[in-house]
Amino acid sequence: MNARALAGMLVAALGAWAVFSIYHTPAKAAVAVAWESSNQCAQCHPLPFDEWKSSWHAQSWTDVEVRKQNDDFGNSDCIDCHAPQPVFETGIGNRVLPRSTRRIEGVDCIACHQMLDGRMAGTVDNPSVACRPLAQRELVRPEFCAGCHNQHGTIDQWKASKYAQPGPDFQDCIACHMPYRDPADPTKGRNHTMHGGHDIELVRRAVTLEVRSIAGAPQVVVRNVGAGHNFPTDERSRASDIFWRPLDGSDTPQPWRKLYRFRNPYRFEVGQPNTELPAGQALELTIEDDAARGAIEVALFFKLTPYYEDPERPDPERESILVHRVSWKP
Amino acid sequence: MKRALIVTLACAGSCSESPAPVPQPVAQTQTTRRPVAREELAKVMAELGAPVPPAEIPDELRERAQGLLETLAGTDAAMRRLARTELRDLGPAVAPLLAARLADDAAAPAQLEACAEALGEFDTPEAAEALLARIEAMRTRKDTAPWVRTQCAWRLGSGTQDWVVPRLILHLRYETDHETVAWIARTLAHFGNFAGLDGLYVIWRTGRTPEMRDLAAQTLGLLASEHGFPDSDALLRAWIEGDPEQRLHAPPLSLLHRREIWARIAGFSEWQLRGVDDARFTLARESREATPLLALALEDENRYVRIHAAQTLERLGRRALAAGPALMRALDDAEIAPQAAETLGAVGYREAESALSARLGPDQPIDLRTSAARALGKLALSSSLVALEPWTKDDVQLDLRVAASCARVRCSPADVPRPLLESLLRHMTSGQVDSAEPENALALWLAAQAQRDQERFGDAARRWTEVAGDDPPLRVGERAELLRGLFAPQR
Repeated sequence: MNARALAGMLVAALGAWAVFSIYHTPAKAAVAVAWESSNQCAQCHPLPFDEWKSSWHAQSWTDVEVRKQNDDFGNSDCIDCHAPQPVFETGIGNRVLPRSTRRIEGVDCIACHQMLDGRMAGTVDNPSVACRPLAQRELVRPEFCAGCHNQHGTIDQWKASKYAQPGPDFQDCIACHMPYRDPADPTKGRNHTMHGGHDIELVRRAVTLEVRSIAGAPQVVVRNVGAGHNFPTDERSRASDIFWRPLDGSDTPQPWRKLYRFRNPYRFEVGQPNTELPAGQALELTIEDDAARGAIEVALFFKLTPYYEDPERPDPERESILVHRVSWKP
Repeated sequence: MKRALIVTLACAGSCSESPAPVPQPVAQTQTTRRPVAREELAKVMAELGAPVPPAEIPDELRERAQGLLETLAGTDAAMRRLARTELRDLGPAVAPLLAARLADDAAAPAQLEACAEALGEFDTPEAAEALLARIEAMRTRKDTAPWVRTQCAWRLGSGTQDWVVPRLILHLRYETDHETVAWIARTLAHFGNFAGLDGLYVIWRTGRTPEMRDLAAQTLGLLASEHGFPDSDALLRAWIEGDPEQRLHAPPLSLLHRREIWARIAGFSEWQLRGVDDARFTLARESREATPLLALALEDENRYVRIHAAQTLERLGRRALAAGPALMRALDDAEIAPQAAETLGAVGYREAESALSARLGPDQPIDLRTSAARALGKLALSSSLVALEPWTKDDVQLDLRVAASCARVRCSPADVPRPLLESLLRHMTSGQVDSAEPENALALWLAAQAQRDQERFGDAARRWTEVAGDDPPLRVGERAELLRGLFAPQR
């Protein structure tokens, strides 16, 4: 090819580019908006906003139980995770830092989606709308949740489980906690209620309760079959208790008897071990009590706060939530 | 040809619509920073020199000490007394042996007591470490002999090892034995630290038995008289308010104490919040002598170190007044400016008023503006009213508006315009902002009114205080109702 032909081709290419530039109208870039409240998101994203609004993330600042535990945030150590600065600002995988405005919105849209340049991380690129979203894979990485949720080791527990290994069992945080609204149509997006321990159906799917006979005695087996982390996890206030009672056929059931507690205790609870049940593991306990020689009932309860009003006479049916109940006869 | 090409390209370039400029990331301070905390810690360590491994105890000395310990386990009281004195006279060389016995749960009470006494007398870092370790052991295993902790706390207070202060402060978070709490408070006071007063007040008010409450009251009275105050309230006030009259005994920090503080500041950069929480808790209860170290840490290269140092200074309150100039510089550090602003208010650095007022303007980030308003409220200077007023209007961003309105109340609670009060009352119950901020401001306003006009506001102020309880929505609702009654037109 001679120089003249080469120059001709170059000129033609530049000409085509010039024509394209003249006639192509790029999407008009939206004017940057100052994001001062997650309420601003509701206008264009009512569904995820309403889902989030009903979530515990949205109540992380206002929840009465939380406020009781931290003395109305008089313990300001709690602010870091309960009203965090945007994760993209502090850096994915880094520990979060507290913010000084819109704390009442808790862990809000801005905390997860706002990027350093004021754009919003999402699943599509679109510079022409107000929040100028940019598709960001980081949003779905477990490290994104780690700044808060690994403070008690939840992400590390997941990493040690089969769910973190590449392959058919792989499931990340959002697979369970932000499932697709319509599993048949992922384009409808993910559910932003981010359900967890407050959703008893999710808790029920996480564990199984079985009672089997071992040499004539009842053996209770609890398996962590569905949680990708310990059961329970994250919050020290969470606990799950196994209770049992003889079934003597009378109309008035006997009081529940405590068998075991799954919980990671607070630091000041000296001498109490961490008894959480890791992902995929099972706990087997044989009830040796003479009262368990006949028919018995065994139940697994879940508690959002760890203590019973009267530790000597706990009333799990009133003070906690039933997860599973099983009857057994020798 | 070339010219035509250039013209065409220029034309194409000018005709394409250029996209709107992308906002720049939040400005970051570009000054060269250094790892202040790590460097200062290294300096202190260098000054302390390499740690010397404990010397071997000569066999003869070991045998004598062991013999004395056995005598202490015997039944002869007179012999035990003699053995105790002799053990003490053996000197610090036997400290490792006594430390091991002090940690032994199976040791006889007289042995434990004598070990604690002798280690206290030795007054060396190793001996103090043994006493501290015995106190702290309750956090990892059940301690069935809390009296030993009491002994250890007492003995630590007779020496010069002030570096035990941070660890004793942290231990107060967990200690369950009221006598040990009392002795830790006394030991802390011996080193010019009055962080133990809080625990004594709690026991005095809520102790389970009269004996516990009496002991707390006696200790409070004793500490007050020992330090030249008419009562413990006056002592506590002096401690909280940063001792403006310089009446508190505040000895300079030893090198070992500085090492403890720098180690905690360096630990601010840790990922796990547990250690960070402990460090913030401990350092925020240090004496004002810790302030210059924390102020220096505001220059650290690590933003976590900087921001947690600023938070700790805020919690030190008036004891951190000397950090004012460093905090003023931190107002230009985009990563920690809002925290620096709030801290300037909390430490009461009045010289910051104009700098904080300048940060209220619309050219500043909203979180800094809001924090600056809150800080002006904490400074409570009537001269700030003019700066705050424009940001109390309805068209101002909500957080800033509420912060400025509350600050306005704090700066001059006696003469707040009625529309502003009504607006704060609405915000207190709107669910749009945290109710605590307007609730506290309105409490201040009501108290000021009651002071001015007891007849009209006294009853309401009393009822406001009575409506307590740990259910915030219920409390806020009842208090709002009370104020609505006050604001209603008089018939």
